[in-house]
Amino acid sequence: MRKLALEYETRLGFSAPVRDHRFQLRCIPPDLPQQRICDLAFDMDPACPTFEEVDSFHNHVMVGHIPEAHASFSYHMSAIAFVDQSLARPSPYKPLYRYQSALTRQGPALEALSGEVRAAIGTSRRVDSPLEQARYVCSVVHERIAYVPGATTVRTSAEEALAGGRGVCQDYAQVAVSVCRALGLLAKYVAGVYAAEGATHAWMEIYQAGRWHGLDPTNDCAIDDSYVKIANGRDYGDCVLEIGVFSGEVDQTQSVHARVSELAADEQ
Amino acid sequence: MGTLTLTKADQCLWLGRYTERVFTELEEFFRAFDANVDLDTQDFSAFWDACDYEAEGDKGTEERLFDMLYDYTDPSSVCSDMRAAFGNAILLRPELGTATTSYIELALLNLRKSKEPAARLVRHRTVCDDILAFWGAVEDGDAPLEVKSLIGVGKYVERADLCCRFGRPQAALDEALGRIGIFLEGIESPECLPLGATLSSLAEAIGSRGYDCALATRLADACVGKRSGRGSRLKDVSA
Amino acid sequence: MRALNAFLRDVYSEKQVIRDGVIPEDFVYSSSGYLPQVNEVTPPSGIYAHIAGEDLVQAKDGTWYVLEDNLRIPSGASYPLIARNITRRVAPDVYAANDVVDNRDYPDLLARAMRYSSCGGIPVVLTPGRYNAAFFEHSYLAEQTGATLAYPNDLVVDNNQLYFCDYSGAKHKVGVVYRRISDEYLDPFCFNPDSVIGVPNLMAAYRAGNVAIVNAPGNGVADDKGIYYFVPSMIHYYLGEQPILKNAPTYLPFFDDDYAYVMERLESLVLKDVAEAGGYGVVFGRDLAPDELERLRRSIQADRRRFIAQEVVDFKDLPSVDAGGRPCRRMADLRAFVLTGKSCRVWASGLTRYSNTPGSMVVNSSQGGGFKDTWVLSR
Repeated sequence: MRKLALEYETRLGFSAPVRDHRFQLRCIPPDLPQQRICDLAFDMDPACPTFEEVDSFHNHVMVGHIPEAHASFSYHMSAIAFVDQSLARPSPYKPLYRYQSALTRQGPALEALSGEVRAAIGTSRRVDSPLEQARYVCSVVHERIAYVPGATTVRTSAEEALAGGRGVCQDYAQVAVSVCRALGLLAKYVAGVYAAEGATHAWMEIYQAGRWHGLDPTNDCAIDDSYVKIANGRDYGDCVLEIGVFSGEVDQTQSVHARVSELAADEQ
Repeated sequence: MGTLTLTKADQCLWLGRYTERVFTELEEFFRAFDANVDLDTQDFSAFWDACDYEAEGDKGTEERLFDMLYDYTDPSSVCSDMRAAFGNAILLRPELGTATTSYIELALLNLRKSKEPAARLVRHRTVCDDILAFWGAVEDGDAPLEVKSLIGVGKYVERADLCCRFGRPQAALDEALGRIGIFLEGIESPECLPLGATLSSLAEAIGSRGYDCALATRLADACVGKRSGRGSRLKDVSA
Repeated sequence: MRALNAFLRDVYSEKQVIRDGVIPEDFVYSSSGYLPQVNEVTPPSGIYAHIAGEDLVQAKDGTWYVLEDNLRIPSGASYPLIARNITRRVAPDVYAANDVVDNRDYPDLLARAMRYSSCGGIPVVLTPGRYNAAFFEHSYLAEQTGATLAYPNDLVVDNNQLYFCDYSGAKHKVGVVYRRISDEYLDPFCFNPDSVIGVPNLMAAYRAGNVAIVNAPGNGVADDKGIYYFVPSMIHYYLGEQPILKNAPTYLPFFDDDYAYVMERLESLVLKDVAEAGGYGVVFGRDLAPDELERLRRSIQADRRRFIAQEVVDFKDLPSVDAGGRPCRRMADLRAFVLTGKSCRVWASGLTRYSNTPGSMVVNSSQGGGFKDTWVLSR
């Protein structure tokens, strides 16, 4: 069990004021047995009435509309999270996660890698459980992709990222998810934050014995109690943290800042 | 208030304007043609001037007349106006009804069939009949009052402008402006539509041709003057 | 229809039909029409397919077969309507002499089905715009049903409620949307983020149960060419009934027995690519040269789930006239429309589509086919 202080902030700047801005935000971490969320605070600038809903992947969605002209848009979330991954409860079996989705669909590069992994696993007796197979996939993916921010975009598919050999956490996660699915495993894409300062993070979950288990291919490790999930789904497309439409032909800048810190001993 | 959008309101206005333009230009064409018959001349210069038609090069009279009536590549030809009316009419099918909009299609088809000089004047008559039938069907039909009113405003804005162009008496112009005033009564929130701007530029055009534009200016002011402090309202309308 | 609606309800909730092994999960999850985004969302009235277009053919021996179910946006109902309007005026004696059921109740059936599912508010027909090939139908059905024709920009979602905005800025609550925009473009926040013809947050309003969408998003999973094979077993599974109309004899290379049969008899079968629509991706084995057959064989081998194979049904051809006005015979199929509100009603007419090429069995309008009104006789 860890007690974490979470902070997550996104700032959008527009080169000229925009109007009639409609948006959806996935920024509120769900309250789960393995991550109890409390002292949740959320604010936006400019402020506007918001509506909350839960999508079909059980993600919290904040829906809003700013009619007036504004040249920037920012929101900020903070919370305290008690995280203990061992408390995760059983979840129903969802075959959906065995099938490739829009961003994990395989091309030659992924097919080749999946074939390679399949062959390697076939000759080894030590990797037979889904989780062990997935850990192996993580290590291979970790090796094949160099961490290069800016080499890919949020639209880059797993196939493109693998073929290019460079990417960020989203690409590691989607490539790993794709290969795991090719092996017949149930694999989910997860977006969240973890104990490092900077951007948001992405990892994956593997279904085994009635539970989802988190693995982080970017860091080639299993997730621990410093990871807080915000959204999950088939791939990035189901976990878009911020999406909006507005009137105005403008250039956009975005800065994201996430921080997860373990509270000092005397605060625990 | 009905479910009329800004785009639809604009289509109503232009449908009124284009049908009026085709109707009056064909009538005036006949007048000019008719005047030439007894004199045995081929002088259409006054007609062309009124229509802002500038003939290029050394085209003959028939060729110029043909272009002015039927050249689709010229946006100010009668044919282009008719096609623009049709383009607006089909978008208003749900409001006006298929039976009413089909008169515009008939007018368009009859205008296309009128290219032969021998058949021309008779066919033009049919086109005008179709347009009259269309106006009557709009008035007689189930379209929302605002739709009828906007088409009416468009029609008489165009008529007022054409009155000045063709040198009609001030009384004819005032008659058209009076009709605009009547149709404006049927529009619930004229201040939300660009009617003020349309009427201001009409007033300007009237003045520039030497007519009295006081009435047109008053109408323009009335459209913007009604603006109230209302922001966006939330109104639920049950089916 | 009842079975397909039950299937859609099941597949977007408990998925019992998969658990009970009636349909292999592959055919649901890898169907492009299956949308997990609407999982666990039950439409306001519980109806998924308010308007269904059932494509039927009659074989030479008189047997009727279901060729395809269309549960997404079956189009074409306005054409028989307009044709009937004209022909009744031009040739009233034909109708006086034959007992043809009047088909001009379609707008009424449609308006009722929309009203039944409405969550309170005005009905709208949502069109992508005037340049859509079916714009005539959108505007005609709006006129005939008294619904408001809406363009994507006319609609907004505020507080999880769909509104139609008029020129003064007033907002009118919308209770039901008969949308003529396909699922993927419906809401850029839920489906294709690049869609400019969608309504942002429409799916949120739908999920909240504040607006009905006709037909429901996600119906594509039930009219998938691969799922078609299972419709007779669905009827048995959900309703305990035997199907009244037969499916054309169909084989799924996905199953080993069917695979062996298809590979052996490829020359005499018609092969359909499940990912294609509009008459594309349909090949007749008998039209293929040996090397083309071999290529097809390899494609099937590579992805067995992608194809279905059917026996060639020998269509009854119908009398028509060709381009020169001479009498001729052409292959045709019939799209029957089934409207579901409080109850299921089959429209006493339909869209007869015929091929313009002698001997061809492809009747889709995108491939040069024509259409005719369809008479249902009351005697």
